[in-house]
Amino acid sequence: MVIKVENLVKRYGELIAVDHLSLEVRQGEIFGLLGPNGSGKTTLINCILSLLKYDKGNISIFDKPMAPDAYDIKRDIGVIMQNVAVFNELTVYENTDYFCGLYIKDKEERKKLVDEAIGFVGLNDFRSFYPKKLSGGLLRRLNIACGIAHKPRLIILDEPTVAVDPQSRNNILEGIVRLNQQGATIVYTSHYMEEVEQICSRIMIIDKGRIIAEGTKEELKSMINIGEIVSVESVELDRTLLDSIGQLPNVSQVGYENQNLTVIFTKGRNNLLHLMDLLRKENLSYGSVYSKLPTLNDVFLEFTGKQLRD
Amino acid sequence: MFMHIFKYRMKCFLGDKVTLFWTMLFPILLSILFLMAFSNLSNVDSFTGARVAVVNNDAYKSDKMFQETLASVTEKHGDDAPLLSMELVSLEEAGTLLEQGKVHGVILLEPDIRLVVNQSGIYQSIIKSFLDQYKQVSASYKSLFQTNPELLTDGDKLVDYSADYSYLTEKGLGKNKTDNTVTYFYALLAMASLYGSFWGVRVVSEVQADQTMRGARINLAPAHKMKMLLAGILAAWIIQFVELSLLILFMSLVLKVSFGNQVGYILLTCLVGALTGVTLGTLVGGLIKKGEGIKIGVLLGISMIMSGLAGLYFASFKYFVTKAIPIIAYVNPANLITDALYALYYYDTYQRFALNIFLLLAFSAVFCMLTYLSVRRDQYASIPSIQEGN
Ligand SMILES: Nc1ncnc2c1ncn2[C@@H]1O[C@H](COP(=O)(O)OP(=O)(O)OP(=O)(O)O)[C@@H](O)[C@H]1O
Ligand SMILES: [Mg+2]
Repeated sequence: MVIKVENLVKRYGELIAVDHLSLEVRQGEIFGLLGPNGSGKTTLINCILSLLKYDKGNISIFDKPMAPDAYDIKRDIGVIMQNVAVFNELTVYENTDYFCGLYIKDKEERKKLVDEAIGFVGLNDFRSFYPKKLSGGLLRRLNIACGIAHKPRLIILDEPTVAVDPQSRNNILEGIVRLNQQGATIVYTSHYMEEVEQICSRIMIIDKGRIIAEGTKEELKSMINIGEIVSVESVELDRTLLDSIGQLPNVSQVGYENQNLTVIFTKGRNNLLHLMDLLRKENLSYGSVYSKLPTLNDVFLEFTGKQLRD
Repeated sequence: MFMHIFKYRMKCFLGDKVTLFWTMLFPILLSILFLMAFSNLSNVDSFTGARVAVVNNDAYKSDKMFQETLASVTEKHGDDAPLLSMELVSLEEAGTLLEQGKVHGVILLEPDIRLVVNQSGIYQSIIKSFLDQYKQVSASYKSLFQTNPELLTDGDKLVDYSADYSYLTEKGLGKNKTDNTVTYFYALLAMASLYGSFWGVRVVSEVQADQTMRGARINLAPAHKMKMLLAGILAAWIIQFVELSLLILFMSLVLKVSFGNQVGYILLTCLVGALTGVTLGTLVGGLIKKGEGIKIGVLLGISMIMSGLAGLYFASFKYFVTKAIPIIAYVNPANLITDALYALYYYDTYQRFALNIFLLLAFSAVFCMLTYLSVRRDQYASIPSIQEGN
């Protein structure tokens, strides 16, 4: 087991930021930690890393108990914090070299690793730039280079794509997958479900410091009873019609607002067909029709009654 | 690893323009301002000098030594204005003159010398310094006469002897001619030393996970925190030492402020002063958990008060504090630095200098210890999410 957390409790005064939480991260996976703002993701990560004192629980990494002075464990971890942590007085190269040097003593080896890391995040053209001269996205990439240059076996990224342009975001996500393919185990926190769905092999959804659900994305989606969600735009409906839509097979919920109809179906066949048939029979005109499969947001909504993102 | 961290600490600090400004350029600018202010002052002096009314009573009439001395300081030497101009008046007249602001002070012998002033200012302090010094010198004369009665008859010898004294220092018993303004520059150097604490604040916040995100990242690395702290202190110390040396170089070469010529000891003072400043900063940085702005504010306040007590705004304040509440003078690093330079300049022996240096080192050691105790723990109760910025 790469990370094992048992019954972790972390309080900030009255507030319980992590509430009896247990988790396991396995060798070679991309583990996604998904939760809305303030759900305790960063707190959990900082506890795992022994940066924060916690009130209760056991944490081990690489099957050894984690502690502030567990240098042999720390040597194999790379962390990319939520906020950029680089020195404004140092260039891209120097920043990467500085942080890498805290792990790797040998100069030759370090030079190779630093070059590789800078290339990896695509900052080769910016080696002698100072952070102030980098755009937000490039700065994030530098932040990542600083965290991974020493080739850690476990990489923890805390919302590395916040406020990043789409190009840098894709670069970052692809990079994470490549690191994983090269053998690193990844823990990835985010409140963007799309990202988590895109790259994570296993996902844990948390809210208010508690686990809401855990599994692969297919497993998570199968936990809820939603087959598909159909939206019909610009359609004129009255009460009785809405009621008869509600009578259709597999319908679990009907919503109607501003002439837009939303129907949530449980799993089943020909759901869309039944709805279209009904609309045709009533001779109704309508605009676009969409059908989409449930997302992790729907999973979150179903478990907590609120949206993942507001 | 130590060298790696040290090298990058140096690089970071040398790129930190804001702190470089406050620790180096600002004191230089201030020293130029001081020079301008003093040259104005001496212009005014050349017209007036300090004006005193001396009460012409029996005690005065019988004190020949005081009369002689007064005569010598009120005499005009070449182009230089006399230090004092005096009027011999009755007690009542003296009171009126003082009230009307026509004189800065009244000297009254009863038979001990008393100075009466009704406000404080540079002139009043000039008169006071003169009188203090006179008292000191006359006391030493008296003991001289007791041991060497033949001097009493040998007038020439006596004159030669007294010609070595200048009357503008409290204790003119050393080698250099006194110049009251040097105290201001020495106190300025003390202030600059304490400003070294700004480096100290950076040193600490860079290794504390709850103060900077860089600190958080460093705490995640397999490196001993104390090693990082020491590398930071060393880098800050060296930079601050060079800055102070450059400040002294500037003041002595460009502004012609005299520091004496014991370069080695002067540099030693800078070295120790720099250490005291930097460690004061690490201490405040470790103790105060709030933002960097608050720490710098606190340190600015401390530096202003300490260097003020050491005579930065008003040289006589240093003497006043030393006399009235000596303990404050001894626990004030700014005063110790000022006094070390002062002792080097005025004294032939190194006792007083050594005491100052020793006390400064002791302070640095205490500051270091307390810093260690305050940053030693390596797990934090809370890590605020800090946005980037120095
Ligand atoms: N230093 C702190 N002191 C007090 N409360 C805190 C502190 N840090 C976080 N909290 C609170 O703990 C809870 C969890 O915060 P945390 O930062 O771990 O959430 P998060 O999931 O990382 O959120 P985000 O997506 O915004 O980064 C929040 O309610 C937050 O307000
Ligand atoms: Mg967070």
